[in-house]
Amino acid sequence: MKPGPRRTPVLDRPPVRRRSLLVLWLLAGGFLLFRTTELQIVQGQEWRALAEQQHRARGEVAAPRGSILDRSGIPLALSHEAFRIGVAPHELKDRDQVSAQLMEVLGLTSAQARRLTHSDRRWVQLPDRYPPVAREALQGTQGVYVERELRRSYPHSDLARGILGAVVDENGSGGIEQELEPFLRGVPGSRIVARDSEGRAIPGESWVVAAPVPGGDVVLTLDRDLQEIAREALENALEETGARGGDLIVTDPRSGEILAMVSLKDGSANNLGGINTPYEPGSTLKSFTVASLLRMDRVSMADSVDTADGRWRVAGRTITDVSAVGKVSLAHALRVSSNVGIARVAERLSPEEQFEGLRDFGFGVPTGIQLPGEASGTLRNPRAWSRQSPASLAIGYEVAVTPLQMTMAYGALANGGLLMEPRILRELRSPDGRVLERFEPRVVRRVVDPVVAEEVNQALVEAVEDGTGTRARLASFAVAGKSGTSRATGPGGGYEVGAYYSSFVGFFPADDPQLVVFVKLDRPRGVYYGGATAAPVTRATMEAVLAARRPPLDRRALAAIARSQEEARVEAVRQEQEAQRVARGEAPNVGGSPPLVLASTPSTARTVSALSPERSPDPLWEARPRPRIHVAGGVDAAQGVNGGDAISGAAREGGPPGVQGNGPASGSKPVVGLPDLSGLSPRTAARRLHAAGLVVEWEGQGLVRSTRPAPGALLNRGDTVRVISDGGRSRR
Amino acid sequence: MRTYSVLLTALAVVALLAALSLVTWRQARALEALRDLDAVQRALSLVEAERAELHRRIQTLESRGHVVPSARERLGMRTPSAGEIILLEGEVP
Repeated sequence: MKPGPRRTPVLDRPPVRRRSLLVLWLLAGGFLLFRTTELQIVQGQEWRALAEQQHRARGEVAAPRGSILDRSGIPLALSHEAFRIGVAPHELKDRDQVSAQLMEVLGLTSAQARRLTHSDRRWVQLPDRYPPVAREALQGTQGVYVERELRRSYPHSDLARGILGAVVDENGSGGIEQELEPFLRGVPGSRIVARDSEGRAIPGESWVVAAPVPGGDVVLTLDRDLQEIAREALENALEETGARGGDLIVTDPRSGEILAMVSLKDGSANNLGGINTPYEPGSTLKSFTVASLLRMDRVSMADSVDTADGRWRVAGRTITDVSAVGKVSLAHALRVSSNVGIARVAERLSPEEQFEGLRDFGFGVPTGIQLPGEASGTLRNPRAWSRQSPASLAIGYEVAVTPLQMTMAYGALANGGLLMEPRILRELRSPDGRVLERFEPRVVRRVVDPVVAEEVNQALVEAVEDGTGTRARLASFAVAGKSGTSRATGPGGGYEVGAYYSSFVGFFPADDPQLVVFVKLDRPRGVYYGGATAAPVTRATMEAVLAARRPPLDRRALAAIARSQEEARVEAVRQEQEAQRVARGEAPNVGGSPPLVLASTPSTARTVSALSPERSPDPLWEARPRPRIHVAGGVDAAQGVNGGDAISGAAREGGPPGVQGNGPASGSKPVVGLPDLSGLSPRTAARRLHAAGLVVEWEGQGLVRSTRPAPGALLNRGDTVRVISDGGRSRR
Repeated sequence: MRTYSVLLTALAVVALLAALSLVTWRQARALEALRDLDAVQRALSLVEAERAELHRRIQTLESRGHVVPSARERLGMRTPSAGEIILLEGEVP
């Protein structure tokens, strides 16, 4: 083998070549060092950002929206996790298998599933949201994509829709959702997700760089049970009366808390008419006209007003009552809701005083409730009044109020004269349950002193016992209230023919009010008087509240009132039995027999000898005709007056069977012995007489001085007793 | 001398391969752990969603809107009138 040419070792090569090579290497190394420095240090930030953009995606982590709770902590609105599902048909390996899977997991029909999996489109999104179970079942299926989102849900559907509002495009719209949007929304977080070379997210390679801050929770004053009761009562009323819509509000007059508020119109609960739809209140406003007169000492409840023949012409307009009642006391005029009576007495106020009185009760200005869209109503300045305005305003026309304003104003009468700010918010809480802010009851102003409030309340009790609101009466507790009927306005602003608003505002128990219930019906068909249509709704609401599992009531106070009423009732029965015994000619309860106790409570208890007709005659009683005939459960049809609520619903619609009688001797009706009521408060006296089945007529105000007939007289159930008072202001 | 250089190079290659294997193994373990974590998180959210759903159902079943009609239809009950409601004396101190 021939040896090849011998290679020259490197070290033996000429120095020029070696040096050239070395320089070349040095240059190359230097260039690499320079480029490395440039890329890593000079341009490092830019390149790193570009790399992150390619391999990492930054995403938003949605913050759970805070819950809205009722006063007991029951959720009315909350956020929960839900999933949207999309399908990329061209990525599916086995379309039939995926189709079957979608049918099983999502409950789709065969046709729906095939439309998804066999579509020619690149991407098909399902419109619904699905629970996490669906995500679990579909996880890993190629071509099926699951996207998480937080959904707002309302467990009780539209029970309190008007109050809660809704979330549209992740923003609160209406109600609490809108009012407290910044608090409920929370702060979204952010995260980085690593992606592989094909852009797919690497499982687990996700870093939350800023944790989301959940929204806070809002506790309302609403009571879910009461809200359901109110909703049911209003729905039933709309069905029975054929009304187009209505409002029902329940508040606590002591704190101004709104316990329930429902507004329905044309089958929808979205619009909260209770705060944003003013109406002309009609007779329910008369209570405030009377209260204004009393607080300015222009009149007393005992003062008489002549309603003449039930017609009164003033400033070119004639105000009418349905039935004339002649000359009556102011209390009686309010009880029977006499338009003429109240309008005539209101003349004793100057326009400024009348305006001030109504304004002080909160009419014409927003109540300040923490809900968006509250209307202020309309109460024009006296400078804009016509000559007819004072009379119109006195009976509830030329003024527009919201149901909430009316409820709060009656709350002021119920709590002794303090106008409270309505409260719908009870607490704001952090996501971990800490109370951040608690809303305390706030008094707006004192409108009338307690004595005035008591006097008006007494007349309102009588309105329910014997006046236009008898259908709101409860068997167990005294209720105070006032009905109202006013003409409804049409779209053009004028009155609509045959269209009315019927309303009733009541509070109970009248002795120590715990609830104010406002009911308004919009255009009821057929009978439209507030006393006939709205008052029964109030009673149904109160009865359901009493029967509720956990009503927001002070049951101890109620039990005490019930006990005292029961004692009075038992006492009345005893007296009646005693009187019957006397009437049968049995021996009077004298001598060895124990004295008859006529009063039930120790403070008012008094003993008298046994009664007999011969010993009790009163000259006036003997001289005057026998008691008038009353019908409809004790309501005197002849006493019904006013232009809207002239005759009580019970009387107009037949109501309970009437009682006809002509004094003690008539028929076989049970005989009742009239107890001695002197020294008692009007309310206590009225309750005892009502418990005995007697009808009461008042003369004067204040503590009872005497009665006609005199104590001990034998009367039939349904007979009338005239109670004569001192004339001073009553005390509780 | 030549044998020593070859051995040294082989050792370096083995060391490099071992280091690379170690990194790969650790990365694989980490990914596996992260997948497990992901699965646990999904299971947690599933259970929480079920809890929320059950809570919602309890609220619905407890609500008046459900109880009252059921009591009427199944048991023939009705809402008592005010006169039929007795507040127990025990509630008064």
